[in-house]
Amino acid sequence: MAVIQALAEEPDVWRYGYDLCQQLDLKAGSMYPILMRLADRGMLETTWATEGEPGRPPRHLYRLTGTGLAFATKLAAAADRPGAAAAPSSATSTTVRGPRLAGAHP
Amino acid sequence: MKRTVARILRIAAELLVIAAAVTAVVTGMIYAWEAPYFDHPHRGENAWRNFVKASVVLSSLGAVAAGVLWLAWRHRAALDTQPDAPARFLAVAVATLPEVRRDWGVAMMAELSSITDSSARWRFAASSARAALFPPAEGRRPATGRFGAAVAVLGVIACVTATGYLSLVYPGTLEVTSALVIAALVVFLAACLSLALIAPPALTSSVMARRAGLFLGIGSGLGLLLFSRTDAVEMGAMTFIVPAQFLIFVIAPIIALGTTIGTNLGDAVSWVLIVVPGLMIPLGILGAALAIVVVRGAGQALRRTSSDAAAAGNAGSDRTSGS
Repeated sequence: MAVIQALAEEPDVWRYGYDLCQQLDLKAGSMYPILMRLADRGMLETTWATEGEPGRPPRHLYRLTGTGLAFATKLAAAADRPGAAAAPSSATSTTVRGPRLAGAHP
Repeated sequence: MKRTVARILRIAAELLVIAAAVTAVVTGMIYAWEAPYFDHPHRGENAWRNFVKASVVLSSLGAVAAGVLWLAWRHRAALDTQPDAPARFLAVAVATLPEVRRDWGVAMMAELSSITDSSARWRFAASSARAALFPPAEGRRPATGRFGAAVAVLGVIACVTATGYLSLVYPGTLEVTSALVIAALVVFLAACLSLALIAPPALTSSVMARRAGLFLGIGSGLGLLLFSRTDAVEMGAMTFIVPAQFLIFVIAPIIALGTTIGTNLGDAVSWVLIVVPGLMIPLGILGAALAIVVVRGAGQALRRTSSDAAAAGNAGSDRTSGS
């Protein structure tokens, strides 16, 4: 969820994987599977950098798609709901991932 | 020129390490297999001779096969173009990614190239290698597919049942086998089962590799069935170990290399390694069990017939002499 929130901070900006790792203090071994899942679910858009340092391969860039952004908005709304902050983190995570979230925000 | 010499020396060192590892594993397995016979009053000398011969032949074959496989793998990972050890390490792991995830491997390599600090490069490479080796599954099905998983589970159950049956009916079949071999077999079976059920999903996307693995698995199972009907009777259910080594160390890399064209090397190797033991062990043991039962039963029937005939002959001659 933190990855989606980080990407939603500036939805129009393309982000590098390593920068996201550093921002969220996540290891690459955790970050890349999350990015893969988000891309599989159509929430993440990817592209290759056209401008890079000479002699180095082009880097992969990521940003949220419309679906991903909508999900991030729902996520933020769920977090802002009264009582949501007091709920255990695992319960919050279950709520935002499952279909109940969609039902809570018609 | 210097670069070429350094490259050759590096490849030679890698091949040397691989050959040493394969030799140690193969020799250890054969030693465990032959060890119970070393002190046998009649078979001791042959056991040592068999140990040396089998070790030399199978270690050489295994070392050559593993070496060829490593050369193909390092070519795929483009190891010679990688700037340093972290990049080489990650490239080897990324080479296992299937087609659908290939871009992610390129992305990881590109990110690594942007990191300059040495320790940060190692941390990123190690962590990314984990993601490359175990990327998320795309579906909820067993990684081997439902058919493969069912075959593996049934096969292992059949294997355990057949081995238990053999040990009860023919205690002599297993008593000559050392506890080390039995422990290794148990670990091997557990590993096969876990691989068949929860294989790394990255390694299961190639239909061609899947077919190759299935074909080889079925073929090797049938081969072992035939093998068990010829000279395996004396050795009992554990006889599959030597052909298993041959299949895993020799045929698997060859098939893997063959299926590399147009598919993923990691797919091919993993499918061969998953499916071959999954089918081979149960079929091999069942084949050996059937052969033992059939041949021993036939032998006993033959002995009974001949002793009956002899008894009838003796009775006839007694009657003749008595009269």
